[in-house]
Order: sequence, then C-alpha cells, then structure tokens
Amino acid sequence: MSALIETKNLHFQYLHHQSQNEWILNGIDLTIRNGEFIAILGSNGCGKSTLAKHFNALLTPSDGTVLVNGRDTNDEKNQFEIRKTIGMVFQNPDNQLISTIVEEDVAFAPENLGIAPSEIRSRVNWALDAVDMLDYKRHTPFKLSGGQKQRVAIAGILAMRPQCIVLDEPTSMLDPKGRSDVMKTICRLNRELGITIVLITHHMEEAARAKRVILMDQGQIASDDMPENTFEQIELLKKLKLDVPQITELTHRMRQQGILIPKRMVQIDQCVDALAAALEERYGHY
Amino acid sequence: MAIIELRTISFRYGAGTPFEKQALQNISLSVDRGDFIGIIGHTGSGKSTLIRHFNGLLRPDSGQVLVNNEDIWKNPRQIRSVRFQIGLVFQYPETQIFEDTVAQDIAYGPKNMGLDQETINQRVLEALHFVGLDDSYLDRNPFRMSGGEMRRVAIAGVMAMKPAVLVLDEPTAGLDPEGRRNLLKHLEQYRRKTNTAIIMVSHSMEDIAEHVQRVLVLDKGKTAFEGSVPSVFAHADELMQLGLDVPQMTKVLLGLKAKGYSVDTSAVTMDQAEHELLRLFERKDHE
Repeated sequence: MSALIETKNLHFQYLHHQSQNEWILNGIDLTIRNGEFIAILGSNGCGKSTLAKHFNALLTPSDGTVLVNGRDTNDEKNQFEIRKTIGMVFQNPDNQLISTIVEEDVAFAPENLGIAPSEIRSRVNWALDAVDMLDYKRHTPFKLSGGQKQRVAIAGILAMRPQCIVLDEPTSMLDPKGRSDVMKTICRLNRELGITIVLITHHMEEAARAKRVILMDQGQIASDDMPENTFEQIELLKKLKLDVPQITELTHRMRQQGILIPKRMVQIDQCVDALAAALEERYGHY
Repeated sequence: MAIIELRTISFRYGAGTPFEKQALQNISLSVDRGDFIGIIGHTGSGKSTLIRHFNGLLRPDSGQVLVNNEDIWKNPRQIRSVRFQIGLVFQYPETQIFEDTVAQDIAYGPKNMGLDQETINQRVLEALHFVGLDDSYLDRNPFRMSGGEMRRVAIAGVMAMKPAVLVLDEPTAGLDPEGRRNLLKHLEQYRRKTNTAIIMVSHSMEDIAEHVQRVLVLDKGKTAFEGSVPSVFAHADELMQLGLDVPQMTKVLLGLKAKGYSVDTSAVTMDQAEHELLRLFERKDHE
C-alpha cells in the first residue's frame, strides 16, 4: 500500500507569526496509506479537527509539510487536485447541503469539476446508490432525517470519486438509527470500494470498528495502534479524558473476577461468543 | 403532587393548511419533584414538539398542560410565569450565549425575573457551582471558552432561574466522553441537592440507562412505551424497529439468551450486567 497522506513534523497555529499561543498541532508525523480505515480520538480541543483540515489543504502547516500523493499542500497549484482526492464531511449535514433537490446537490461537485453531463448523471446515481439513498433522488434534502441528510452529504463527496473521505464527527447529531446507517455506509465504502476513511469521533464504539486508532493529546499523537490494543490501555484513555468501550470494560471486569475471557474485545458479538465459550468451558455444554 | 401533568395532549403543525401534520397524539405524562425522566425517539418522532409544550411555547390543540395543578392556558397572559418555573435548555444551548462575561450571561434570566442585585449575584454563583465551574469563570468571556464549558454556562443560565423542572434537549451532543460524564454527573448532583425534576431528551441509550428513572418512548407523535428503564428496554426488538436501540450491556445479555442461556436480560448498566453475568457463572457452581 502506498502512502496517500503523509505529514512530517507538522506544526500549526493560527497567525503563528503574531501569536504567543502554544501550537495547536505540535509535531505530527503520520502516514495514511491507501485503503486504510482510521479513527482519530481525543478530547475537545486536542487538535483533531485542525489536523483533519490539513489533509485536504483547508489549512496549511505553519511548519513542517503535508503531502497528499506526494504533492505538497502548501503549493497552491496542488490544492485543486488535492481537494479532488480527499473529501470532507462535517458534523452538521445542514451546513453542507446547498441544493433543493437531492440529485442536484450530489451533482454539485462533479459539475464544478467540469465533467460531461452524461457522466455526471451516472456518477450521481452511483453515489446515491452507494449510500442507499437512490430512492430519494428527487426529494428535497431538507425534509430528510438527519441520518439521511448525512448520507446525501457523503454521496456529494463520493460523486467526486475521491480516494479518501475525512469525516469529522459525522454522527454526533444523529439518532441511533441514523448513526448506525451512516456507520454501515462508511464501513461499506471502505470495504467494497476501497476508499480510505479517516473518522473523527467521540464514540468509542464507532472507533472500535476502524482498523487503526489514533489517540491525540494536546496537538500530539499519544497512541497509534489497532483498536484491540488501543482500548486495553485503560490508564492512558482515562488520562486523555476518553472512555473505554463498554464491551472492553465489561470483559476487563469479568477477568478481574477470575473468569477466563480473552483480552482485546471491542465488539458485542465477540464478547457474547467469548462469554458463551467461558461458560461452556466451565460447565460443559449447556 | 405532580409539578407538570400532561393530559392527553394532541398537536398539529399548520392546522388548516396543505402542510398540516399531526405532531403529537394523546400524550400523557406526570412529573413529580425530583424525578429524572428520559425521552427517546427517532428524528421527527415529536420529542422537541413535546418539550415545547411543557412551558407553553406551543399550545396543544386538545388536552391540558397542568403546572402545579393549574391549566397553564386558563389565563394565557400569565404564561410568562410558567416559563420561570419550567426551564427549557435547547439543543446546542451555547449558541444562545450573547453577553460579554459569564456572570452577565447567567444573570440574564434572573434579571428578567425582576430580582434584586444581591439575589441575582447569589444565584449566579450557585448555578455556576452546580455545573462544576469555579468563581474564576465569572469575569471570563464565554466566547473564549471550550464548547463543553460554554454548554455548562448556558445550562447554568437556566438553573439560575431556579425552575421546578429542568428540561434539556440532548444536553451531551457533541461533547467528548469526559465532558459528557461531567455534565451528567453535575446534573445528577443538582437534582439531588435541589430536588428539581429533570427531563432529558437523548439519543444515547447508555446515558438513559445510567441516569434516568423513567423513560417515555415516542414514535410518530404517540407514546410507544412508558415506564421504568428496564421495563422499556425489555422491548428490544420493538425499539429497534422504531429506529432506536437498547444499551450495549443489554445486547450482550440478549446475545447470551439467544444462545440458550437462561439469563435475566433486564440489566441496562455495566454494574447490573456484571452482577447478572457473575450470577450466571456462579449459579452453575452449585448445581
């Protein structure tokens, strides 16, 4: 897998020449490869969103470099190409939807890329299908539920055919159904279309579905590992004002009570299987 | 005696227009002092419409809203006094902050109640402490604080009016895990100290499971379920059909039950689930 995004010694502060403040990003070295599914966790104000905005040149480094497919984000000539490669989805879908018809909204980006109308049509249909919203093509986005709006916003990004989608707390305004639909969509885009996903979230359970979890603290990377390992670091998580997923904590408590359950549990079905196995081991078949 | 009582209220938006929409249908609810009640339902199920009835921002088409046993719409001119008794905190309340200092912002509500300056100052301090902020915040500019701090200042502004009921619409949305824990902890302490009833709308089943005593589940403007937390989450399948969820701990127990283990699935919090699982492991020792 080749490097898609590479940050080297990335430092950032707004108006850093005049500012006395500490760095918001304080030396980030990070390599994101094609096809990865990464979650970024951290308390409010740790620099997660600021980092994400560097991935598609919405912000550029005060010091250090960010390369996207080898192109420097600091060079304005590269920015158009970079923003086609890396799409962003934000917390509130209402801020991202601009048109009164779903399909027009999704067509906005490809229209701006100067793509032929017939190609735009096929891309819009494909993108809406990928997020399971094709039936709502002719609807107005403003009457959709939060989860549906967010999926339309994702389709709008997909229609540019980006290599990577960065999602900044995409589910924090959604109800449980909306949240689970959006998460399913994100996982499918990664698995079936090979799109690189960078997911910023406050929900430990969502982060547990990624393949790699990055913990941030005061503008630096505090941990970069598989979720199964990350969530075993209970002390570190508490120090960073984060949570342990409930499943991990439950299995941890069970182990303390002398029940043999493997470490590194993050998913509900894993946990149920392990508990059943432990019960069986102790007492034979039920 | 109930502080708020809803008696079969119904409400339509845009009545008599082509956009008429039945938003609430025959909702009844009774809230006592010191209650902690959760309201859940998917987007568009009527939660926000419902809480706007508690303090008379909306008037039901039929049914009654009683505050301290009196119909709040009996004398519509006095509706303002109801708003001091029932404090409403909207979603993302930090967007409603407008004063230059924290103290001024929290004082805005009590000032409008016509209280004297000394009482106002005292209430501001008290409310600030209820949300877990110290005196050093008083002169700070709220716009230079973190999102979580701003949220707490906004909530303190409503607490300073000393309402009998505090209604919050998704108070923890967008906060980080510690911010969420912190806010919920302080709400709980506030409820215990002041015996104020709290009504909380939330999308987090875990928060509901951990904190509230009773749950009202709305679906298409009707009451789908109402009752104690375990009794409501016992309807796991139905809740999922309504676009809702059950707490993760309940799911683990339901998973074991589906595998044929005789397990009590009424646990909703981590402590309860741990207890039930240990029981399952130990009981077999004695067989």
